[in-house]
Amino acid sequence: MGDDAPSTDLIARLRAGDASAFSEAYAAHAPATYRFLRRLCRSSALAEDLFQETWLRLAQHARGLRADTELRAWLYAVARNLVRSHARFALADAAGMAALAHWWYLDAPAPAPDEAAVAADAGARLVRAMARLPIAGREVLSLVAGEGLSVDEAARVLAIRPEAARQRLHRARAELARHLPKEEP
Amino acid sequence: MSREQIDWSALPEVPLPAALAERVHARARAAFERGRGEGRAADVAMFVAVTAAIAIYLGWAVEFLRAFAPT
Repeated sequence: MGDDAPSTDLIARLRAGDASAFSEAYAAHAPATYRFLRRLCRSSALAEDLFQETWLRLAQHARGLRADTELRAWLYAVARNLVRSHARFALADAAGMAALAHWWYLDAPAPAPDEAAVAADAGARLVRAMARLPIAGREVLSLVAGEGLSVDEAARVLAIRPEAARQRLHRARAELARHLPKEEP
Repeated sequence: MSREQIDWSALPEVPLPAALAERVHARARAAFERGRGEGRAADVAMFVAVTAAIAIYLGWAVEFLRAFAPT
């Protein structure tokens, strides 16, 4: 998470109750927070609810943040914990697989027809395969492959040891590869 | 399919809808500002409560000691 110095300044201003710092934090981290939640939840409505709840949690706890808090990791951790605590995934896991492939494209701009067909096919297969993973696999893959975090950073978000994160990532990748259908010749 | 064959660039973009972004920002920022105000009010209330408690204790102590003072 290479923006430590600006993040430290931002945290200090958040702790001081600076409302413009809150808006800066939102502008910097809201898109990633939302993307992460959309990849964890199988319902867009649930992702939107938890996205709002994540930022309300920051509003509530900003004054009590530690000075060395890594804000992006903090937000990912809150979002992840909200998903986990949401009725034990009852809603997150109940939605159908077909709905998953659909909601990932709801807000995407429409590319050219040929490119769209190829990209959507590859993307949809990947989304469907990820949707079949257990939540622990989706979490670590979303953080490392989707958000570009290092394994150590993902481990901090997930509150596990780096070695455990590496093993979880390895298992998730292997399972994902099993779920991905073979390419047509 | 091995892990090297997984094309992560195929992961679809997930843009944050503008309407959702604006709505959540407005609500969260309002909550943040409300919390700041509540925090200050709580600080003032705590200061007043502590000061009043000390004053009451000192008043009681003065009265107590006065009872032992030689007339």
